[in-house]
Amino acid sequence: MSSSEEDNGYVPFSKRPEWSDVKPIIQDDGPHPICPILYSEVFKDKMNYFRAVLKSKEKSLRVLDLLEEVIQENPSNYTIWYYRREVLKAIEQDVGIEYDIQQEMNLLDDMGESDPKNYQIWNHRRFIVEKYIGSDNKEKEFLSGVLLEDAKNYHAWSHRQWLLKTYGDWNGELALVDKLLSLDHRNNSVWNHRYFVISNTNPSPFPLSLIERECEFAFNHIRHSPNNESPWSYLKGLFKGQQISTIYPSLLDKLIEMKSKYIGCSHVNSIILDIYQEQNTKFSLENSLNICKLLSETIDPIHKNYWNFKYNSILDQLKSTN
Amino acid sequence: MTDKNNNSNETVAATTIDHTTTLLIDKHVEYIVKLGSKKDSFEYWVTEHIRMNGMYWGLSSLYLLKSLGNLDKNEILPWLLSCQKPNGGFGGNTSHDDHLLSTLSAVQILVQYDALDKIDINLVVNYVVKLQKEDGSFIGDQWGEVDTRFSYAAIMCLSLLKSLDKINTEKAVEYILSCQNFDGGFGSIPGAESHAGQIFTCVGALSILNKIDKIDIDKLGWWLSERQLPNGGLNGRPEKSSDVCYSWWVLSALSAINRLHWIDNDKLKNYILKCQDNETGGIADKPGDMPDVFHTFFGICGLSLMGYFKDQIESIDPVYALGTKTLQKLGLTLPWNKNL
Repeated sequence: MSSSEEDNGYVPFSKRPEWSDVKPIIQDDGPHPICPILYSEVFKDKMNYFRAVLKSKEKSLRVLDLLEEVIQENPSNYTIWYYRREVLKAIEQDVGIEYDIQQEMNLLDDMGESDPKNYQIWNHRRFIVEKYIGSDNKEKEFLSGVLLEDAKNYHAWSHRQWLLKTYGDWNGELALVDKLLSLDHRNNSVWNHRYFVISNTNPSPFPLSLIERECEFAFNHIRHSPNNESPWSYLKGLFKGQQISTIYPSLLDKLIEMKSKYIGCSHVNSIILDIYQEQNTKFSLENSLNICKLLSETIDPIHKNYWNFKYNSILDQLKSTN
Repeated sequence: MTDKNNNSNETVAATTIDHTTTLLIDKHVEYIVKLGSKKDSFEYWVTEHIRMNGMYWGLSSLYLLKSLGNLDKNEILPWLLSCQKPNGGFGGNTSHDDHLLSTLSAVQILVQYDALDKIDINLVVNYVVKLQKEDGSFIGDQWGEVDTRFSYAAIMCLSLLKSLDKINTEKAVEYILSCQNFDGGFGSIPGAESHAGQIFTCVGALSILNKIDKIDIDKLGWWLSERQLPNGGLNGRPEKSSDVCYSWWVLSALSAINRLHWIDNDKLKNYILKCQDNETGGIADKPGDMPDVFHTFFGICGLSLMGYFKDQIESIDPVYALGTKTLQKLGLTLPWNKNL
């Protein structure tokens, strides 16, 4: 392995004149190592010099270069990222050293592209943006790129949500949502993001006009695939803090129409159940019991224990209305 | 039985162990014990910074399979202690920086081995306490990454060390509740998508602090039960594929809120068993994939929680992810635990 790496042009640190003043520190696992690792010679060499600068606490541009080499070998090693931040902080305060922070973003862009689910890279990115960049500048563009590759990347979405809360540039968010839903309307992350954007840019509880608009939005997607869980959760979520039967009573008729159209759909039945329970009349509750039975026995038997639980709660509710 | 019959029976038995209906206990023990010796594998050195977590998953699996003695405690403990930093926290391996997650795994291993006396408990407590922010959230290390996973890790760690009174539990609860979403689930930070892994940590933390009644349990229970797919396996969020590790994240949360029966237990059991590797042992994320210690642990946990193979596997607590008996010995109250 080591000879082929030498062939690839790797120059050991001991042969680099700019590092001649540094004595490498070999890893000491003790006499009986419980978890000894068989590293490659290249990796060992880099780590030996990393240990040396860690011990001497050197914080310089050459150390940044060294750290970049080591981190490429093992991007999840949080000790290396931690020390990199220490070095950046020291360099910032040293008027004699110049480092264009954009280089840091370039490194993060490259590494983020190859390793889009790495916690340490995202964490470092957040640190750099917050401390040195101070705005969402090109961040949204970078994130949109990541999301077009993998629209369910949890890190990318939570980074975007952090960015929006911190810098408040909500422009273009709904357009992004539309674009990603048109590519995959089953993407729950996108539905969550829409809810995040709506709830951060509107009063709570939501006004009726917003609810009507968003219900229509959800229905458009439901028409494509009625068994898609996400738009139904989204729909229910719009009424947070309010009662559907109070604020939007005509919704029930629409849903009953859909129920007869989408016969095997548990979701439409579930939301109708919620409304009937809100209404709390003998009629609505008796209808609910029938729906529960239908769900438990025919439409959604894998969840029969849940639907039986619902049946019993509604039965109790019915008894107390009489 | 004739020799001929014996031989053919043995041959038949060796090649047709039906891993879809049997739990291959001996194979899994073998798999885990062998992991420590595969020091030349790429996987081994790429995961070396999370060795503490890996050790916890491996040891806990052996405990569940009643085979903890198969690894040498007297080799493991000195290594574990060598991972502790002067500030009290533990790193993922020797020469790695401290982190809350490795600190938790280290404490869990010490509890497993009944060896808490080997550390200065106050030092560890102080390390954890310093990680709480003003808004009640917790960071994972000095660099400030906030995530509800860290709330759970801190709260669980301090609970095991009987030092919950050292943090602001009210603020901690407040922060966790601020991460509850419109669909009843929880994310990593406020507004982040509901995810089974994050839900497990929020439910765990709230349970330990005795504040689980602050959430809409039925709504969450329903979201969790919707994770079950027709193949019997569980996913972590809507429209994603099933993965054995969700047999833990989803199941433990359901168990903690007393709604375990809201998913089809038999179907999930069959899914987990199908994910076993009948050649090498170990359990994979999906049937046919390569096993790893992480999925092995969580697959066995799922079976334990559902009460299958009761005579062969120990009971695991859904909140602490440690053995019920181990936690009882520590004197902890576990009001959610059905196996007391």
